[in-house]
Amino acid sequence: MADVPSMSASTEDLFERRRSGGYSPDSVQDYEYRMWAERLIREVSEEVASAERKARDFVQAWVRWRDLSSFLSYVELSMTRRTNVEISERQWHETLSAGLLTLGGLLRDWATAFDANTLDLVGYNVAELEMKLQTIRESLEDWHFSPPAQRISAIQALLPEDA
Amino acid sequence: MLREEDLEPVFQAWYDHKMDTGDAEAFRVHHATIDGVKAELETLLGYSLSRSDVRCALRERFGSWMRYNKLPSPPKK
Repeated sequence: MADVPSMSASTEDLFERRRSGGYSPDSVQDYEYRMWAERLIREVSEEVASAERKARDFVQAWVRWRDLSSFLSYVELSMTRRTNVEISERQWHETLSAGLLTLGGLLRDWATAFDANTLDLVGYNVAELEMKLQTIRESLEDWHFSPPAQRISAIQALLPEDA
Repeated sequence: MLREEDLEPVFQAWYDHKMDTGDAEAFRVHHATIDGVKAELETLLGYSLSRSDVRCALRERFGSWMRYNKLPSPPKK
Protein backbone atom coordinates (compact mmCIF):
# COMPACT_ATOMS: atom_id res chain seq x y z
CA MET A 1 0.00 0.00 0.00
CA ALA A 2 3.04 2.26 0.32
CA ASP A 3 2.87 3.25 -3.33
CA VAL A 4 -0.84 4.02 -3.51
CA PRO A 5 -1.56 7.76 -3.86
CA SER A 6 -3.50 9.52 -1.17
CA MET A 7 -7.21 10.29 -1.71
CA SER A 8 -6.40 13.98 -2.11
CA ALA A 9 -3.95 13.46 -4.97
CA SER A 10 -4.93 15.38 -8.07
CA THR A 11 -5.28 13.79 -11.49
CA GLU A 12 -2.06 15.52 -12.54
CA ASP A 13 -0.15 13.99 -9.60
CA LEU A 14 -1.40 10.56 -10.53
CA PHE A 15 -0.38 11.09 -14.13
CA GLU A 16 3.11 12.07 -13.01
CA ARG A 17 3.37 9.07 -10.73
CA ARG A 18 2.15 6.79 -13.52
CA ARG A 19 4.67 8.25 -15.97
CA SER A 20 7.56 7.84 -13.59
CA GLY A 21 6.58 4.23 -12.87
CA GLY A 22 5.64 5.09 -9.30
CA TYR A 23 3.16 2.27 -8.94
CA SER A 24 3.49 -1.48 -9.04
CA PRO A 25 1.38 -3.83 -11.21
CA ASP A 26 -0.37 -5.01 -8.05
CA SER A 27 -1.32 -1.54 -6.90
CA VAL A 28 -3.48 -0.80 -9.99
CA GLN A 29 -6.10 -3.08 -8.50
CA ASP A 30 -6.36 -0.84 -5.46
CA TYR A 31 -9.47 1.20 -4.82
CA GLU A 32 -7.83 4.58 -5.23
CA TYR A 33 -6.41 3.78 -8.65
CA ARG A 34 -9.80 2.59 -9.78
CA MET A 35 -11.36 5.79 -8.48
CA TRP A 36 -8.71 7.79 -10.29
CA ALA A 37 -9.38 5.94 -13.56
CA GLU A 38 -13.13 6.38 -13.21
CA ARG A 39 -12.76 10.07 -12.45
CA LEU A 40 -10.53 10.45 -15.49
CA ILE A 41 -13.09 8.68 -17.67
CA ARG A 42 -15.81 10.98 -16.35
CA GLU A 43 -13.70 14.07 -17.02
CA VAL A 44 -12.84 13.02 -20.57
CA SER A 45 -16.43 12.04 -21.21
CA GLU A 46 -17.63 15.48 -20.05
CA GLU A 47 -15.05 17.18 -22.25
CA VAL A 48 -16.15 15.14 -25.27
CA ALA A 49 -19.82 15.86 -24.54
CA SER A 50 -19.09 19.57 -24.20
CA ALA A 51 -17.14 19.60 -27.47
CA GLU A 52 -19.98 17.72 -29.18
CA ARG A 53 -22.48 20.21 -27.80
CA LYS A 54 -20.42 23.12 -29.14
CA ALA A 55 -20.12 21.44 -32.54
CA ARG A 56 -23.88 20.82 -32.59
CA ASP A 57 -24.61 24.46 -31.72
CA PHE A 58 -22.26 25.58 -34.47
CA VAL A 59 -23.93 23.34 -37.07
CA GLN A 60 -27.33 24.67 -36.07
CA ALA A 61 -26.16 28.28 -36.34
CA TRP A 62 -24.46 27.66 -39.70
CA VAL A 63 -27.51 25.90 -41.21
CA ARG A 64 -29.85 28.66 -39.99
CA TRP A 65 -27.57 31.41 -41.26
CA ARG A 66 -27.34 29.71 -44.65
CA ASP A 67 -31.14 29.39 -44.82
CA LEU A 68 -31.59 33.04 -43.88
CA SER A 69 -29.11 34.23 -46.51
CA SER A 70 -31.05 32.24 -49.16
CA PHE A 71 -34.27 33.75 -47.83
CA LEU A 72 -32.76 37.23 -48.25
CA SER A 73 -32.14 36.49 -51.93
CA TYR A 74 -35.73 35.35 -52.44
CA VAL A 75 -36.93 38.55 -50.76
CA GLU A 76 -34.81 40.53 -53.21
CA LEU A 77 -36.13 38.64 -56.21
CA SER A 78 -39.64 39.34 -54.99
CA MET A 79 -38.84 43.05 -54.53
CA THR A 80 -37.23 43.20 -57.98
CA ARG A 81 -40.21 41.54 -59.64
CA ARG A 82 -42.66 44.10 -58.28
CA THR A 83 -42.87 47.62 -59.65
CA ASN A 84 -43.21 49.34 -56.29
CA VAL A 85 -41.65 48.29 -53.00
CA GLU A 86 -42.80 49.81 -49.75
CA ILE A 87 -40.30 51.75 -47.66
CA SER A 88 -40.89 49.48 -44.67
CA GLU A 89 -39.97 46.47 -46.78
CA ARG A 90 -36.75 48.13 -47.92
CA GLN A 91 -35.93 49.00 -44.31
CA TRP A 92 -36.57 45.43 -43.25
CA HIS A 93 -34.32 44.20 -46.05
CA GLU A 94 -31.55 46.50 -44.82
CA THR A 95 -31.93 45.29 -41.23
CA LEU A 96 -31.86 41.65 -42.30
CA SER A 97 -28.82 42.18 -44.55
CA ALA A 98 -26.86 44.03 -41.86
CA GLY A 99 -27.75 41.39 -39.26
CA LEU A 100 -26.65 38.56 -41.55
CA LEU A 101 -23.34 40.28 -42.22
CA THR A 102 -22.63 40.57 -38.49
CA LEU A 103 -23.67 37.00 -37.76
CA GLY A 104 -21.66 35.72 -40.73
CA GLY A 105 -18.54 37.38 -39.31
CA LEU A 106 -19.19 35.78 -35.93
CA LEU A 107 -19.64 32.37 -37.54
CA ARG A 108 -16.34 32.77 -39.38
CA ASP A 109 -14.58 33.45 -36.04
CA TRP A 110 -16.42 30.63 -34.27
CA ALA A 111 -15.40 28.16 -36.99
CA THR A 112 -11.74 28.61 -36.03
CA ALA A 113 -12.48 26.70 -32.79
CA PHE A 114 -13.02 23.47 -34.78
CA ASP A 115 -10.57 21.37 -36.74
CA ALA A 116 -10.84 20.92 -40.51
CA ASN A 117 -12.27 17.39 -40.23
CA THR A 118 -15.10 18.48 -37.94
CA LEU A 119 -15.96 21.44 -40.19
CA ASP A 120 -15.94 19.14 -43.21
CA LEU A 121 -18.23 16.68 -41.45
CA VAL A 122 -20.77 19.35 -40.53
CA GLY A 123 -20.80 20.75 -44.07
CA TYR A 124 -19.17 24.08 -43.25
CA ASN A 125 -17.24 25.68 -46.03
CA VAL A 126 -15.43 28.97 -45.48
CA ALA A 127 -15.41 29.69 -49.24
CA GLU A 128 -19.21 29.42 -49.27
CA LEU A 129 -19.48 31.69 -46.25
CA GLU A 130 -17.24 34.33 -47.89
CA MET A 131 -19.18 34.11 -51.14
CA LYS A 132 -22.49 34.60 -49.36
CA LEU A 133 -21.06 37.48 -47.33
CA GLN A 134 -19.94 39.18 -50.53
CA THR A 135 -23.40 38.65 -52.06
CA ILE A 136 -25.01 40.25 -49.00
CA ARG A 137 -22.58 43.20 -49.08
CA GLU A 138 -23.41 43.72 -52.75
CA SER A 139 -27.14 43.57 -51.96
CA LEU A 140 -26.75 46.24 -49.30
CA GLU A 141 -24.89 48.48 -51.73
CA ASP A 142 -27.37 47.86 -54.57
CA TRP A 143 -30.50 48.47 -52.54
CA HIS A 144 -29.45 51.01 -49.96
CA PHE A 145 -26.52 52.99 -51.36
CA SER A 146 -27.82 53.59 -54.86
CA PRO A 147 -25.70 55.61 -57.31
CA PRO A 148 -26.87 59.12 -58.29
CA ALA A 149 -30.05 59.17 -60.42
CA GLN A 150 -28.15 60.89 -63.22
CA ARG A 151 -25.73 57.99 -63.52
CA ILE A 152 -28.59 55.48 -63.63
CA SER A 153 -30.41 57.51 -66.31
CA ALA A 154 -27.24 57.65 -68.44
CA ILE A 155 -26.98 53.85 -68.38
CA GLN A 156 -30.70 53.32 -68.95
CA ALA A 157 -30.56 55.57 -72.04
CA LEU A 158 -28.26 52.98 -73.60
CA LEU A 159 -30.59 50.04 -73.03
CA PRO A 160 -32.79 48.66 -75.81
CA GLU A 161 -36.50 49.44 -75.56
CA ASP A 162 -38.37 47.20 -73.17
CA ALA A 163 -40.30 44.66 -75.25
CA MET B 1 -26.75 51.02 -77.55
CA LEU B 2 -26.97 47.62 -75.94
CA ARG B 3 -29.06 44.92 -77.60
CA GLU B 4 -31.72 42.71 -76.05
CA GLU B 5 -29.51 39.65 -76.62
CA ASP B 6 -26.73 41.31 -74.62
CA LEU B 7 -29.01 41.48 -71.60
CA GLU B 8 -30.56 38.01 -71.74
CA PRO B 9 -27.46 36.13 -70.39
CA VAL B 10 -26.95 38.85 -67.77
CA PHE B 11 -30.48 38.41 -66.42
CA GLN B 12 -30.33 34.62 -66.57
CA ALA B 13 -27.03 34.52 -64.63
CA TRP B 14 -28.30 37.10 -62.13
CA TYR B 15 -31.42 35.05 -61.53
CA ASP B 16 -29.48 31.76 -61.22
CA HIS B 17 -27.13 33.34 -58.70
CA LYS B 18 -29.95 34.75 -56.58
CA MET B 19 -31.75 31.41 -56.60
CA ASP B 20 -28.65 29.66 -55.22
CA THR B 21 -26.20 32.00 -53.55
CA GLY B 22 -24.10 29.02 -52.44
CA ASP B 23 -23.34 27.98 -56.02
CA ALA B 24 -19.80 29.14 -56.80
CA GLU B 25 -20.21 28.75 -60.56
CA ALA B 26 -23.43 30.78 -60.62
CA PHE B 27 -21.66 33.46 -58.54
CA ARG B 28 -18.74 33.56 -61.00
CA VAL B 29 -20.98 33.70 -64.09
CA HIS B 30 -23.11 36.45 -62.54
CA HIS B 31 -20.04 38.61 -61.96
CA ALA B 32 -18.61 37.79 -65.39
CA THR B 33 -21.79 38.79 -67.23
CA ILE B 34 -22.19 41.98 -65.19
CA ASP B 35 -18.52 42.82 -65.88
CA GLY B 36 -19.09 42.20 -69.60
CA VAL B 37 -21.98 44.63 -69.87
CA LYS B 38 -20.20 47.06 -67.53
CA ALA B 39 -17.18 47.18 -69.90
CA GLU B 40 -19.48 47.81 -72.85
CA LEU B 41 -21.29 50.61 -71.03
CA GLU B 42 -18.00 52.18 -69.89
CA THR B 43 -16.85 52.32 -73.52
CA LEU B 44 -20.12 53.93 -74.59
CA LEU B 45 -20.20 56.43 -71.70
CA GLY B 46 -16.50 57.17 -71.52
CA TYR B 47 -16.21 56.77 -67.75
CA SER B 48 -15.90 53.94 -65.28
CA LEU B 49 -18.82 52.29 -63.51
CA SER B 50 -19.20 49.88 -60.60
CA ARG B 51 -21.07 46.59 -60.70
CA SER B 52 -23.58 48.19 -58.38
CA ASP B 53 -24.17 51.06 -60.86
CA VAL B 54 -24.95 48.50 -63.54
CA ARG B 55 -27.23 46.36 -61.36
CA CYS B 56 -29.13 49.40 -60.09
CA ALA B 57 -29.70 50.66 -63.64
CA LEU B 58 -30.75 47.22 -64.87
CA ARG B 59 -32.91 46.27 -61.89
CA GLU B 60 -36.19 47.45 -63.36
CA ARG B 61 -35.49 45.60 -66.60
CA PHE B 62 -34.51 42.53 -64.63
CA GLY B 63 -37.92 42.71 -62.92
CA SER B 64 -39.68 42.92 -66.31
CA TRP B 65 -37.61 39.99 -67.56
CA MET B 66 -38.71 37.91 -64.55
CA ARG B 67 -42.35 38.80 -65.04
CA TYR B 68 -42.14 38.05 -68.77
CA ASN B 69 -40.55 34.66 -68.06
CA LYS B 70 -42.97 33.98 -65.19
CA LEU B 71 -40.15 33.67 -62.66
CA PRO B 72 -39.66 32.59 -60.00
CA SER B 73 -41.42 29.44 -61.11
CA PRO B 74 -42.43 26.74 -58.66
CA PRO B 75 -39.84 23.97 -58.29
CA LYS B 76 -40.19 21.04 -60.68
CA LYS B 77 -41.54 17.87 -59.07
